[in-house]
Amino acid sequence: MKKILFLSGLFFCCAAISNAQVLGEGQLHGSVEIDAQTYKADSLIGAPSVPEKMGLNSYAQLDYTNGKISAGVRYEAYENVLEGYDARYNGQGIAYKYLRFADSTMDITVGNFYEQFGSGLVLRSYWNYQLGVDNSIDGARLKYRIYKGISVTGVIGHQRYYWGEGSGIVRGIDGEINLNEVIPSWDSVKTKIILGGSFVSKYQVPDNTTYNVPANVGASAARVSVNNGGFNLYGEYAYKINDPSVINNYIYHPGQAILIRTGYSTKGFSVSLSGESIDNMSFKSDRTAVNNDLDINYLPTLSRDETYQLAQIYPYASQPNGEVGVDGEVRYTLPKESVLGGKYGTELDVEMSAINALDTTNLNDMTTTRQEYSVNYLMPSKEIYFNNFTAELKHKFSPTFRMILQYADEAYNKDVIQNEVGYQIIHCNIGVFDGYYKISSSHTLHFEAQELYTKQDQGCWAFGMAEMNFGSDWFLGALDEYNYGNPAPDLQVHYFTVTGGYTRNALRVTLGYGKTRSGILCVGGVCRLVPASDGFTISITNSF
Amino acid sequence: MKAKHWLILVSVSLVVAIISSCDKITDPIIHQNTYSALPNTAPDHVTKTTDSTSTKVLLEDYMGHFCTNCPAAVSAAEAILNGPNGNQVVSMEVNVGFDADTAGGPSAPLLPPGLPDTAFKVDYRTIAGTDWDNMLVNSTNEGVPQGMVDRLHVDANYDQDIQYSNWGTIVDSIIATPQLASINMVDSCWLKQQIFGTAVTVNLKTAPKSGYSYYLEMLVVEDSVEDWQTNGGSDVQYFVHRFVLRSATNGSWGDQLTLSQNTPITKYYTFTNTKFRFNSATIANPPQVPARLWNMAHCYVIAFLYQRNNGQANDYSVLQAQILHI
Repeated sequence: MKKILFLSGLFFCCAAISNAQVLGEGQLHGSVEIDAQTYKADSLIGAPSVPEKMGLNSYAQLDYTNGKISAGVRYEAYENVLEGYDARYNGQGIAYKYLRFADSTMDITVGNFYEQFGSGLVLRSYWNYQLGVDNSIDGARLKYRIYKGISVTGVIGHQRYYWGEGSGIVRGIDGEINLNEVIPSWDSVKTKIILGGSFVSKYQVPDNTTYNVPANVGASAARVSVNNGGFNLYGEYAYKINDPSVINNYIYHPGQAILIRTGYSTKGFSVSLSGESIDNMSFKSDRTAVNNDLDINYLPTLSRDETYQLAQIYPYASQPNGEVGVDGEVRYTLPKESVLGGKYGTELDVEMSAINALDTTNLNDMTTTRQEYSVNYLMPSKEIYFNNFTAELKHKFSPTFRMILQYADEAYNKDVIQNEVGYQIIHCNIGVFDGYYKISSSHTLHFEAQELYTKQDQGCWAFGMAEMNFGSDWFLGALDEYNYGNPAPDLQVHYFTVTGGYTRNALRVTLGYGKTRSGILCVGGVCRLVPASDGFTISITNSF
Repeated sequence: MKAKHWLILVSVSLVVAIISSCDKITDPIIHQNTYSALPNTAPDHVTKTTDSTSTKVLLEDYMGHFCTNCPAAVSAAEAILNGPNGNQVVSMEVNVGFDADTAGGPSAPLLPPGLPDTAFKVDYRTIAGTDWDNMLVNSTNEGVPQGMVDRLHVDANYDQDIQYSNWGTIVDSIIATPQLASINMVDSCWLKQQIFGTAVTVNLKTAPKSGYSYYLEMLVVEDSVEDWQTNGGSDVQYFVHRFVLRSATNGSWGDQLTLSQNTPITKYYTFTNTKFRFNSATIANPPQVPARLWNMAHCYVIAFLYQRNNGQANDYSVLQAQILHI
């Protein structure tokens, strides 16, 4: 009953409020999301029996701003948490609250806040509702603009740990200098340069009885960003001192990470090249934390963010203990009215990623100095973690029909990426056809056909989807994911799902029924397990 | 001083404070290579284990003096110890609950008529045994004898413990599996001072599992304790109890260890007790010691390594056990 009342309250709240509300001199903004699912056990696909028969994840965020003062809260309810999310979220309460003062030179926040230094190699606190990750810092933050083009940010606090807080204290400071603003004569220079530096330290009581663990662990980073017309370059290097933890098996090897992204773009053409090397860079505010718990930093992945269903079967997860990789992408638009471009032009996109283990040499010192290995930094070993080649073509044939064709060739080290045993490198090929047909001014048909071909793991998959949009409000769709190549004939299962929904302004209501295969869900290299399920789903989102 | 200057001063101070917040460790491993409170003289004798290459199984027999069926379980354990795999079994009797209550509590069994005043007077219950019973065995509902083999998970509440008739089969099945860890012990004993020290070296042979914690439990047991026991319809005065739990050296749940694969860790334990007795110079032929006291010549130290799955409250599975005469 309590669950139904809460759900109803949130729904009517979001339905009644459709725009930012003016309260006195201030403004109130908010957003609401409710996701619920029923569960039916299905031993064939591995869907477990869920005692409570349904789960619900939801939140409502309210932010009030009045001049230089703003404040906000986020109420979350997990009754009980959806399968695949950590059960320690079960319950409800205020998970996020803050009070903030900000003017042109100073920005002070007390309470919870999210912050990122540079690309996040030494500090990134963020919330991803879809992944079930929230490592907000509960404490204080000061941003201060010392001089034109020079700013500093200081943070201190404990990180959120489900409904409590982690035991470690996080302290950090970041400075950034925009040379074009600091040096008057550079004001009109075409080349824009920004320099930055960060230092983050964590404190945790050294309570280990076996090892002399450091109470204070520091990590620092330096970065540069250069832009000149269509050219851009971003580089960041981070270093962390000894940080023994469960993740790195209590070794005392220092951590390092380097990230370089560069690119050039002009009308109809762009090229980008990225490189990354990570060595022992897991940085958590609790040395005993595992999975995505209490991460202080974030290690971006070079792999492509896949959007198509079958391309998400083998997603890459960043390996904090060590990886080295490169990624290159070229986009080119064949001009309109050319032989290959046709009447509307054709977009071509080719991307390649290669990520391997770092080249290391075992030192056999685990009973003495526990460095464990020496590293040939920036050099890959022969062990492949992830290789991907993707080619994509987008073409519009007429005002009513356009399509996307995609082909991908992938090598995926499932043993390492998913911490499994016995799979080794999985090689697969994926083909995608994605079409949009405008039947009338208010009706659009979206349809996809995909195939994943592999002789390994669960074998081949096929995917088909059709979705019809009726005007701008309603949509209805059906999809089927078919594991036709599973080596076990009785596991050649159809995962059939129907969905329908209503969208207006920021309100979106989606209803669905069907089966979901087990797997992992990754966003930007951060992943969580998704168990198989069978049941109804409802999702409501709104903001004002 | 203007507010701006204060802010700059605070910021600079913060930078200095944070940058100094790094602890560089040059010697990672805690070297606890001396025992606490051991005599300076040479020990009377030193013993050590020599069999660290095979799986050793922990067999726990939860029982009581007044339990009429418990001698059958003792016999079952004895048969396993004397069987072909007996040298790979570490067995102990754990006295718990109502049937072990000889302290005259309100619910204690009535003393059978016609027995001497000294009959059934020794209380063999221990804090650790009671804790394990409450957490893992639940003899209050299940009764005794009950047993556990390597504390294998049977159900969510450990209510369905393993009957003694099945112990042998389960022991044999575990022995057939690859060894997960090894435990070596070296014990130094001072008889007159009634104290001993044990160095325990634990080596995990497989990679530690993510989300698991590992614990080392140290126990003192006394073998061949001759004392009263109800056996069927009769009361036996000199029933021979095997490997009776006397004390848990490091608490009911032991010490947490941070383990790495094939990286031995050594822990040091010192133990003494006012109930220790040894009043003869000849170790090989010690004199009789009253059951209420602990005959050092019959005492052994038991060590076992177990795991806890942080996401599963009832996983206390034992990976390896070891026993050594002190």
